[in-house]
Amino acid sequence: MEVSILGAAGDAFLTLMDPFRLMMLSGGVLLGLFLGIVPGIGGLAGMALLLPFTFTMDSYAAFAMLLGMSAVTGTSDTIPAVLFGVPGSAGAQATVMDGNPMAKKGEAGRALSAAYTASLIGGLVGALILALTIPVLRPVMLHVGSPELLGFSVFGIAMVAVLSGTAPLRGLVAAGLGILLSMIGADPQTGTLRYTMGTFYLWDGLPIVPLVLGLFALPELADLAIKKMAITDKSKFDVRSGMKTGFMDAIRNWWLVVRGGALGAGVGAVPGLGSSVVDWIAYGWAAQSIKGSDKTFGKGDVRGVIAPESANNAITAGALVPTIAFGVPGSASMAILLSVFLIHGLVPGPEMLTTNLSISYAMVWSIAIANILGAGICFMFSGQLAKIATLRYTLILPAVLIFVYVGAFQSSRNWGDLYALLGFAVLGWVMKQLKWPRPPLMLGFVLGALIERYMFISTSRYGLDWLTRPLVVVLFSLAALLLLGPLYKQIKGYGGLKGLASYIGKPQFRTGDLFYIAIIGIVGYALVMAMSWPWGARVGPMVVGIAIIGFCSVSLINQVFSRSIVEAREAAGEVRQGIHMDTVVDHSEIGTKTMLVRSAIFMGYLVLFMALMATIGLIPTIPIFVAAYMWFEGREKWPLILGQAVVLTLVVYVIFDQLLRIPWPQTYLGQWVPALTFIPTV
Amino acid sequence: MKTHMRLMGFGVLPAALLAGAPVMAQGSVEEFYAGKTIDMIIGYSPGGGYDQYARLVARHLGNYIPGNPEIVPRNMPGASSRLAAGYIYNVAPQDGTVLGTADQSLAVAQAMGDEALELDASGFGYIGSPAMENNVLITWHESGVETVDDAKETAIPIGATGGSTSSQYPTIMNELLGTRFEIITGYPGGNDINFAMESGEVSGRGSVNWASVKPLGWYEEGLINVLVQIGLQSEADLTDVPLLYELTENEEDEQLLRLLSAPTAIGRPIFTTPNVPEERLQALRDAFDEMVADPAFIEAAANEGLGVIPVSGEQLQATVDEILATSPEVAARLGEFIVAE
Repeated sequence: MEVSILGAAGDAFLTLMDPFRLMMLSGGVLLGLFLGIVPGIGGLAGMALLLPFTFTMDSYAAFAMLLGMSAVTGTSDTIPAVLFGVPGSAGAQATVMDGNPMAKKGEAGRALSAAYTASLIGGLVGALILALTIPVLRPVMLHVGSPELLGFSVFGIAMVAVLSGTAPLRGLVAAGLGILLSMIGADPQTGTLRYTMGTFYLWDGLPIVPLVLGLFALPELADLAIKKMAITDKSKFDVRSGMKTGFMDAIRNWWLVVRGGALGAGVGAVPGLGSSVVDWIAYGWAAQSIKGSDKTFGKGDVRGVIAPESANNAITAGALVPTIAFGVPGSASMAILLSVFLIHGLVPGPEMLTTNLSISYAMVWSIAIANILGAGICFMFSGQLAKIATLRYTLILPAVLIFVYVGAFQSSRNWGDLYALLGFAVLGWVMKQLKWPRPPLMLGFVLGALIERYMFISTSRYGLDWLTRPLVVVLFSLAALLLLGPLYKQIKGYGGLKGLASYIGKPQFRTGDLFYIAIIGIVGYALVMAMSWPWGARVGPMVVGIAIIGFCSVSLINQVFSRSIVEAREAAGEVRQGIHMDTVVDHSEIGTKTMLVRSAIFMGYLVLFMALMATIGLIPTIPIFVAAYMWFEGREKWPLILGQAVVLTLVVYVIFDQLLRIPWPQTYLGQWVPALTFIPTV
Repeated sequence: MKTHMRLMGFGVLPAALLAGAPVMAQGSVEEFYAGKTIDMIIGYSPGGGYDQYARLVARHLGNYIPGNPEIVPRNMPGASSRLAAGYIYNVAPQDGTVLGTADQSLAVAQAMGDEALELDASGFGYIGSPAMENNVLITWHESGVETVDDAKETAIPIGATGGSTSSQYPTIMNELLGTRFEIITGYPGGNDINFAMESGEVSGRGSVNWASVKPLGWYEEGLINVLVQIGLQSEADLTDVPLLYELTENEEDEQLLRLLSAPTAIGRPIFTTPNVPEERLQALRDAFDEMVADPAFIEAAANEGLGVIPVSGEQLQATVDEILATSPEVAARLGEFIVAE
């Protein structure tokens, strides 16, 4: 048996070394790196783009190209995350937490280099795990049913406790909101349309791309615009030595990297979980297990970059597990990969582990080689890239903003994407200013829907018997430990229950408390809406909604009553340590009034972009918007403005209109003067 | 809207008679399409059956249309393709430069009086469908249920996704035929149900497209039993499996089951907007018919693992009209079963 497996792995390697196949693999890698950098588009768009080209290839070349592409989006999505605080794909959200502060400190080169190294090793670990487990995949996986999938999801959501940092109650509220958002759309039981507000856009649920970009990308850009400065004004390390340091950082923390890779492969193998949560789980795990992390995480600790980056590159290998073994695609991109199996006459299942074993191993090799190539290419360019962080904000902002907008729009090609983007941008920015942790909301959004789904299947299939299944017991216990540990530490930090009581003081209200009232109001309304639905559609939102209102009220009362005492003690020099789970922003030097005026102006630009797009179409909007922003905000020189306007317009036209073939919405101009519709997007 | 729909219906016949003859019309169609781009709006994300067929058609159909326009596939997923269908019906230019594909059961939803549907399915200009496949209800070989009669004796868990045919078929069979399926809904997709069958979590799947289960080889290996096929005529390789609507003696029930089975006859429909000039609609239909008869097209489809069982545009139009002509009582009764589930 061993001999034949080694033989298959060797054969697969030799088959893949064919020049044409290597060329396809490299082509895939280049595309993947590119898609990773552009916010909002990632592996899924790449799969759709490349699929037609694979029809005429042999199966080795086809898989090499597709896997090469999807394996490396997690390598390059670090670049915008570190440089601008904008995750290049959902897998780099957590990278922003420490990567962007590092860039602000002038350590962009170090952060990027540590991330590439972690990505590379993490990706290889993922491939190795896949290679080693291929022979035992099927028998092991047959023990994983809906109750176990529920267990994994519950374990994942318990990470909320860690990811809420110093604000556990607010974290629970945020997680609850995320779960409630995930329940938008046709429910999996009865098909009842929940919270669709009468629009088709929300039938299949809220898409994740506008949510991620709104919640995490736009608030960072807003703060950049408000501060009116370059991302960094220092360059502490010269780029070359910074890169060497970053590389050594990843090597020194090799255990963090290896376990990140293993975590990534594991999470990737669970259908429904994927890159949008794995980075947070890895980050939370690192924060919880590294001593002293509460003093450095979120402030530019390189380990906060290494953990999520090592995990998100192992996702592709993990996601292949259920795809190869059972034809269950673990993610939307894997669903496309599955169609490639069938096109090439390959049937996922036992044959992939026997007669077609060498194809399975060729997939492993493709992922491994792609990771090496991807990291190598990124290393070559990161020296130049790191300098971007020193550019003026008026040069960076318009370009990044446009990609955020178009990236969000391509997710379902609907105006709803842009409204959602703007809505979540406001929510994310308010949460950031008021120090509410945003990561739990993401975790709730991805895992909430899974929990509801598998809870129903488990109960309707097994009654309550599923609760005694061994893996379920283990996972639930781990989840409980994960939840209660930080809670216990918190209470102990306050000096036990008695100590907690000493924090009750004279009630004090702040404007920020209105946010609580708003949440309670909105969730209350959601509860009222849910009451008329059939039981199967109602029970999930009701339970979550009541819990949110409960946590929200307790948190509000806690804030109002403890505020005076906490501030008095802080003034007396008593400091409690803890991670605030967010990038810290300080607008104190410009004053509240200027801050609010500049925020309003930035919001004005966001609305202007959408108004222009509705009136004259996206492509004509770009040069006008770029010119307006660069001139009015920065008084940049016209040759520079024109150059940037033209280049950006062309880039967007080629990628989104010619390659991704996005169906553009109708514009007012197109309706008034139909003759102008020859202009793209009008 | 009603009168307009009738006009379209009458328009089909004279145009069909004239097809091939009018050189003048041919010339103006060619003039119109030369150098133009046609959008193929796909109501689903890339990768699924509708998407694969639509992209295949988009790659080839232009070669058979006078003037050889380029056809660009554009995915517009959402609300099980209703977003795209609504766009094609209400927004897209009605000059023959927009084609699209959407859910085969739109017409049945309309017959049942679905209020959320902002269109009249008979108003589209149907071009044709490259495939027509029945759905089947399958059980795992270890389930102990091999026929519909077995299913009336033994209760087995059947996997389904919510609000789809996989929960509708077994629900209605339980109601009308007395089967005892325990329907476990909530699975995210068909592949997940397949896995649940293999792992023993469920013993069957409420609905699966026959063309997508065939390549797995499960039927030949005896891993699954096909209890019933849902369609209006039997699949060539399933002649011994009963059609769903044949299983009842009651005429009212039969009408209901025929309505439930009709969408499979629509296959993967390709259609254009309402009000496309008759000569262009005819040119598109002729091009489609020519394409599906071309061995080059059939070979290209086979290379992607897709079978070609073509349905002409006229046939699609007739099937849609037949569905919409169902008596309101029958449609309402089906609606009750589907909504009440």
